[in-house]
Amino acid sequence: MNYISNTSEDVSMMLKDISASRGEGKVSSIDELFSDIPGGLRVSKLGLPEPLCELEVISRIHSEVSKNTNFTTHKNFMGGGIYEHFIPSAIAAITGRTDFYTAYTPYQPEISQGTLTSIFEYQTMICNLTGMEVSNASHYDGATAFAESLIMAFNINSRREFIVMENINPAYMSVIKTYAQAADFKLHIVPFDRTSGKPDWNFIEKNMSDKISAVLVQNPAYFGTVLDFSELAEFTHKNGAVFVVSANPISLGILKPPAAYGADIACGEGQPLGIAPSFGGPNLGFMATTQKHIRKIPGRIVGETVDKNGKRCYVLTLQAREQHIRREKASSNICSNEALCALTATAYLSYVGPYGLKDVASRCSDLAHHLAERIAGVKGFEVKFKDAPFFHEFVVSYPKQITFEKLFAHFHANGILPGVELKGFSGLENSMLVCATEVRTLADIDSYIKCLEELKW
Amino acid sequence: MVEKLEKLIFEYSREGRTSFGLPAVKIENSLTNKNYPEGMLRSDEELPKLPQVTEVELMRHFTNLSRLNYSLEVGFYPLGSCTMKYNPKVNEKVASMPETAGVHPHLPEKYCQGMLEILHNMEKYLAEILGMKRVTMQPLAGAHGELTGIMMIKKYHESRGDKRTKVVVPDSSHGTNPATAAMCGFDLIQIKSDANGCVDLEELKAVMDDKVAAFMLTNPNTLGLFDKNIQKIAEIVHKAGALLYYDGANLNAIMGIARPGDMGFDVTHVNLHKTFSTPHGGGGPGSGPVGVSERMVKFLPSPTIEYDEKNMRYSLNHSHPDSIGKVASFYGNFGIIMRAYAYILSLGAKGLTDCSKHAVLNANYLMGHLKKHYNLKFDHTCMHEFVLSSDNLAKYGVTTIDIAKRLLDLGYHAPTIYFPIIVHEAIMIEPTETECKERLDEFIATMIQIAKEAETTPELLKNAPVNTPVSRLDETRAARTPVLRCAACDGCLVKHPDSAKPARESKRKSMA
Repeated sequence: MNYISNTSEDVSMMLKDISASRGEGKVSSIDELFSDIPGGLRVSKLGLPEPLCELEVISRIHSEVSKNTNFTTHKNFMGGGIYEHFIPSAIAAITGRTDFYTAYTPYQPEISQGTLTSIFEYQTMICNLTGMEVSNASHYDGATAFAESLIMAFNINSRREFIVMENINPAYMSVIKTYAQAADFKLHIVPFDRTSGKPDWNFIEKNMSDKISAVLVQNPAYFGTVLDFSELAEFTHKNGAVFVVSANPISLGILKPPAAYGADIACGEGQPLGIAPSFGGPNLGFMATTQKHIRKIPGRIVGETVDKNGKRCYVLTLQAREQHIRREKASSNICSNEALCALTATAYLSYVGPYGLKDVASRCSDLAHHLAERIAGVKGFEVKFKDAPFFHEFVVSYPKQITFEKLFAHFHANGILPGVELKGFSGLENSMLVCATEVRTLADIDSYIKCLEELKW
Repeated sequence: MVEKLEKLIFEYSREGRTSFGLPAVKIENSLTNKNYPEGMLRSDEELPKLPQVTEVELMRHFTNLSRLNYSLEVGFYPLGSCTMKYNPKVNEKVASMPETAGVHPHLPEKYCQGMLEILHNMEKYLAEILGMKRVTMQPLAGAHGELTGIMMIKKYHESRGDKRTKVVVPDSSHGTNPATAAMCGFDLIQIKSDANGCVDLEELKAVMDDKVAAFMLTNPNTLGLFDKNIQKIAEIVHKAGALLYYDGANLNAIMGIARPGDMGFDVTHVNLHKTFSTPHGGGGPGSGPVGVSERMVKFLPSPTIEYDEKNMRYSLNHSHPDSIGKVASFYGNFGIIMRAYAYILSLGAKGLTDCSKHAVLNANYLMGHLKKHYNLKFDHTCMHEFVLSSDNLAKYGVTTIDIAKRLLDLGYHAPTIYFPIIVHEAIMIEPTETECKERLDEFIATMIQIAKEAETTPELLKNAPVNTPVSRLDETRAARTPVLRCAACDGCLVKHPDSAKPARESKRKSMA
């Protein structure tokens, strides 16, 4: 297949015109236009598969992806940062409009009011969800938004050390470490209590100093646990540091927003807001802050203004923070946003509304608590941090005699994906993270328990 | 294309409206409400202020919004450096199949072999196209790829006990290059281009020392010119112990013709949303895979994807002690990678090479015609794009922004303007290979018409656009007094005047 329209007749006419306009002499073939490329650098032919027609492309890719387990073949209880939620049919109908997805970045606002208005709505919804005052137009994903908050905090107070909770998503931790290493930042990782799941307060007190730029927490934490961080936020502010909260946006349908307990930067992974998991991307990083730090937040921002005729309209603004204007002095090198994913989240949040979001969050939480209670009743299985409140995810430890591989295979054979294996947390060996969302039913939970009871060990 | 402006979704909201519902479930022993700490739950009054609309109003709102956008399927985007080529439909189809969209990234390897196979194949294909040893698919955008690349370069020097503090870029570089270097703690050195718009070898030699970590370059450069001296540049850079970074924004000029790896580049990112036809989505998501030469392999983000030929199994390899670590939550923007995969499978080697050939043909055709009407500072065979200047029209009081806005009136997206900064009043044009000759001829005629209007009726340009949903915007006001969210949001969620009591209660009962 190809998408080139020039016919050989077109080509010869075009070459004729090019020849007539050139100071460098005639060209009789397209190849001659490449004469600046030294001969030694020319490749004869790339070693790639032969081209396929559309029928073949679909059939080949379909056969490849059919080797995977997916949500239509199995009942999913996996989360760990990516969640399966019900996506109303209207969402794909909106994001599938070519006027949205084939449009360029809205640098020409007169012909981009669709994208700009939807981003303005997105920013408003992120602010309303998190309680913050300013949202950017979105970031790459939850991990990179969290990691960029370090750079933002550094830009706010010029300090280079950070206090980060150990119980954040390990992928976020890994990305934070990558960014910190590049920027020469130092991290203090706060261990969590293996019984209560709470961060070690003594460690925080001991490491807090006037060198600390920010304190980073995730709420709910990776293990699903929820904590009131008001006291920590207050302590952070007292020491002149910035308090950063990464939150699950669905949980904000029932839980107090990060602003309510003192966040200066609220960020998170927006994938649960109507975005399909697609093996982990594209996702949606959201990032919001207070009015005070409006000029420190990275990434695109849309603002309201008027046109020459006084009509209300929207435009990319505060661009003096950005790389195409400020180059090496920019607040970040970020150049794009996840506009289409932000549109998805905007459409999703508009569809469910405040009560729908509350219903989804409550249902997730109810089902997860019901499941946790049932699992705790199966001999050999334990729900960890059982005194800690949690949202829709919790840690289950299984008998040492079983490997995760064997456990997973048993569930998989029965049409269930049982959870995400925990790796790299000492004291939480033989444990997995189990999640229930509103797409699960009580019958699914019965099947889960049946599977667990049948497991031989 | 004048369309009526659309209200904000919040302005359609009325208490109690919704089309959303969940199945009725009776859960015994629900712990939710007593589970949470005191004061951690929102009361109904504290629920986030989201719109309350029915599906029909939602669909009308977003449909009307979409009609205010210009898009690729409406017309031509002559946007330099952005490669706005056609986004094939089959790409969208394979990315949205439930077998693709409904795959959890935490699945153990055994259960996601298809995904790993596709990522592994993409790595192989891109490595071949770039002439690189290995490729990471993790970076989520072009600038994110740059960041990944410069992080690897930093790690490379550190691993050798070599403390290097500077990154060099040409004055024609993309803004992301210096911004990326700064994020990795490097000081920036900018060098002047030579009279032909290419790297000035003497300037380069003068700044290269044992403190320079990397030279970041686009080739063809942002003027659309292929730097013939590329091998000499590589030699100078490598001789100083520095590495050569390739900004892949302009790869569409040379696919199947020449490869960054063969030119001597050590690290290169590609933009799948440019060269490999994935949609721009109104500003993202993109995807910015990074290819590296042999000596950089051990610094790649972890995990890498390996194939065991004997057992025909794909696996994730996390054991890379020298890796810079992860740069994203998972394996990259898989949905975007999938679209690019379909594109490469559709085109094959010949098709990809033809893309670059026709992209270059189309650009030279446009340049040949337009240089008679606009200034062309660097009059030389171009690659996939070229840069004009509107200097010749300044005498009529017309600037590049006026030309850009007039183009909007006449049914086009504007070219990239005022970039690169080394060309005064720059107009940067990249037609891509998917435009046919008739489209190019129409564009040429339009640009000539605008040049004439500049002389005869300059007010047409100064007042433009008038055929668009809004006219020129007050950007100063937006920046001086920023309004970044629906200011009247609270007020928008007014109780419907017809209902003293929220309609929601009755509606929810009827659904149960």
